[in-house]
Amino acid sequence: MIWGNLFNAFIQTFSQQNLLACFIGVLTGTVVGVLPGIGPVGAMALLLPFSYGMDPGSGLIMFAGIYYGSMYGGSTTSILLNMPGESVSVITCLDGYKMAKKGRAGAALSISAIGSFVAGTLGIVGLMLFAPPLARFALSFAAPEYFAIAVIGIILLSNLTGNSFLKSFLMVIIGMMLSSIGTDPLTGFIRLTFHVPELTRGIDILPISMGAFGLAEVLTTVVEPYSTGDLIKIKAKDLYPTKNEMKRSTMPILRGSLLGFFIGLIPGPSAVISSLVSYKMEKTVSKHPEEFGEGAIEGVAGPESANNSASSGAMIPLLALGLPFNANTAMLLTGLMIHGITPGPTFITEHSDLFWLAVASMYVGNIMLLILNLPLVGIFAKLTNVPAKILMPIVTALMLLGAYSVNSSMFDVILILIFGIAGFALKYFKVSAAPLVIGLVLGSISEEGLRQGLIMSDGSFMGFLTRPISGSIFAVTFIMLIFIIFKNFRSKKIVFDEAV
Amino acid sequence: MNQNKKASIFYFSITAVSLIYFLSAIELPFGTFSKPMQGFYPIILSVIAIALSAYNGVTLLLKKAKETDEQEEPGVEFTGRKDVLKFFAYIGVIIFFIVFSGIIGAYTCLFLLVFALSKIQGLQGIWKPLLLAAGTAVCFYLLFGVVLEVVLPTGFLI
Repeated sequence: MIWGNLFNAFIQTFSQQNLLACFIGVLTGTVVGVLPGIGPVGAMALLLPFSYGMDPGSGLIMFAGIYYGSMYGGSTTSILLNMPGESVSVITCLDGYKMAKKGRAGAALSISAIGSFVAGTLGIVGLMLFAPPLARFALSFAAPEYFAIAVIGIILLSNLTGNSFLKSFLMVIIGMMLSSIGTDPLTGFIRLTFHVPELTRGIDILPISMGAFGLAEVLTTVVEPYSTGDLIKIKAKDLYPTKNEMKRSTMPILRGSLLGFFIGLIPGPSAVISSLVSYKMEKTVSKHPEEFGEGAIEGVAGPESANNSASSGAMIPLLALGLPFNANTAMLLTGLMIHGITPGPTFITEHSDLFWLAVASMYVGNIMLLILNLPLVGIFAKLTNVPAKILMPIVTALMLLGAYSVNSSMFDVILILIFGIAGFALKYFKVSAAPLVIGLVLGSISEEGLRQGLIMSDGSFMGFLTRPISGSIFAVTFIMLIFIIFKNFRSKKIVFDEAV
Repeated sequence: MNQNKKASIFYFSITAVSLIYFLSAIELPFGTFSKPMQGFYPIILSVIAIALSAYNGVTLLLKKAKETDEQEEPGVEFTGRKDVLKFFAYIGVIIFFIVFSGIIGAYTCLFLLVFALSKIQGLQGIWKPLLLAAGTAVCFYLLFGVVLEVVLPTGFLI
């Protein structure tokens, strides 16, 4: 059954439109990953208006391509310039750049590309195997279960994003408040529009994402222009790793793939976390721990594999449950919903062709990325030579026109400006904007779940706790909260003791 | 003004906005727990937001000037008055685009936007910014106007 579906999906993937969408997605993702500033969320937000003319399958293929393509691209500048293009590639700077300085840049880039390809492929296998049964299990979910999952997602996200649980939690709440503007999901009543007619349709995730992730980054470059370092040149004959380097990379790639996939399932910046955890794990198990930080190939292979595999893992809660647990998958969700597709338990059964198309395209996309990244790595790295004073005005113009084209309304452009300033303020005060976007998406899901659950249980919260699935999830959430409170209390006590 | 005091003002601003939201939300019917209505969730969320933002604001206000949280997110800093001026000029140009697109025409405003933004970003001379602005306007006309057939605001110019 799986193989039959996959075979049919591969045939569809090789259509002209889908291949083009895949290519545009992975190329854009790689470019976005290489260039500091606009990340995959901003890139997906920019391309969203252009996907309107595409069919849903091609749109999904393109956005997914941007997502995992950016994981590849970020490592290029980490290795060649000691400048991570994306936050997930920060760890790669530690050993990747050191390898480059020793003349092994090509090997580092190759291992990064090969590791990403293997991990991406294994991650897709995991997605293929786990998503359908999870979706079937989720068919038994009712409103209390969705509320429980939203709550645990919010708690985990607040704990794992940023340095302060309370600050991240506040951002999630703000996002949820914004999601309440417009139409009440249960009654259809128009509320909280503040006498602004355009707010009757609510606040879309698009202007918030473009503003908080796109325009905020552009405003950052106005104040702190990024500078390019000396680009390390690669010779063609040094492009490939030696036998010893391949041998040393094999187990880190496999370990990173497995680790990244399961970390990808949890809410929050799973790709960043998986690369950090993988690095620590490789350093612990390595026979040459003293080489870490000085150019250990394992320090590149493991983290790069982990972050790619995490992007596949993160797709499972999105496609099977309809719950995005990071900003990237929240944008994917928006892209799908704009095309009239709502991911969730019924997505895999009612739109199985789309699900398998996405899976097949991810295989094809990974091959495209491997082909693009190995021989063209020098060209991609040169993109960083495009100065911000040329690039950023163009990106700003693209954002403003892109936002206008969604609803042919200047109001969306005004929203981008407002959230761009807000996003810059968050960066200035060192608060992450990602919880804001997730809160916007989880807000309506959690409100529906809570209100419908209360109606079902006639106003009693015990209705949420006595159901086996929601009760178990709330029990885990309670234990996690105790752990978070204890951890915060302990760290404050240590600071106090040291001060004394 | 030290960073902690600035941050506390930021959080108190969130408190103020949340309070406005709360005052609008209480005009909606709250309902009961067995039949929660349109105001139920917004009221609960705004109360939490007011409490959290006020707590963060007060905590920062009481911290000493140089005391910061460990392992903060990477942030952005203004290094001087020039940065502040550049920042507000950038926003001003975008506001100009929003206000005048419908009067002058979107593509003309786009040309002026890119020219002005590139100068703010530090692109030297006149010809480079002009070429950049003209090239961008033409490319975006082809992309939005011809390929995507998006109708942008028109004015007495294009």
